[in-house]
Amino acid sequence: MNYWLWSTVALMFALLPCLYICAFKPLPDRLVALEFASCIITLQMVCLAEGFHRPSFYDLPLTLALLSFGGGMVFARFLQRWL
Amino acid sequence: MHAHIAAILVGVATGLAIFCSVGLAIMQKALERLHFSAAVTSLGSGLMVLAVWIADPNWQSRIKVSLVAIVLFLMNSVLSHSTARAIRIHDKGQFEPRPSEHLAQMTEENPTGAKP
Repeated sequence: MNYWLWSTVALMFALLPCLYICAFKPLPDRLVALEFASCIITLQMVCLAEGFHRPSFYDLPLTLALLSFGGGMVFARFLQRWL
Repeated sequence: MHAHIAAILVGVATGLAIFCSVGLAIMQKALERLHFSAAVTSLGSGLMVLAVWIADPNWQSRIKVSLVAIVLFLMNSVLSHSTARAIRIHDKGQFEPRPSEHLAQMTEENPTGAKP
């Protein structure tokens, strides 16, 4: 275990408040928690790629960062218009 | 020496993420929570990029992690704005300020523009 992998484990704890908000809070708060969680998971994937010394793994956080933007925009539009 | 600096940077980024997640849980309104989400996106990813540039001599890693940080930084600012806009429309029914939300005109009798 190097410090990158320890950081990945520690970042898991940052996801717990997101889980709580997504489960119990109103709809706008859930959207914010979802965006926060996607950012945390992107950072976790960066830490995993660096911790395992696999530069090819960096494609995953890059893809997730791009897709989470699209997903967040869609959810924001749904919240604005229909929910 | 480089590994120690990178470890400190990663530790600071992780601590910042956990601090922001606690702030996310403590705040009461969605717009207040949005501030913590934006902070970890800009500062946390920047610190991670710095740590990778210091710790890893591989240029492929450096370029890819820089791309990740640029995408996170640019797109999350757009996402934060559109989310805040959606939250306001969801709560108030419209984006534009209502007549009750307009500030009073600044005059000589009311130089700060505060509502009477």
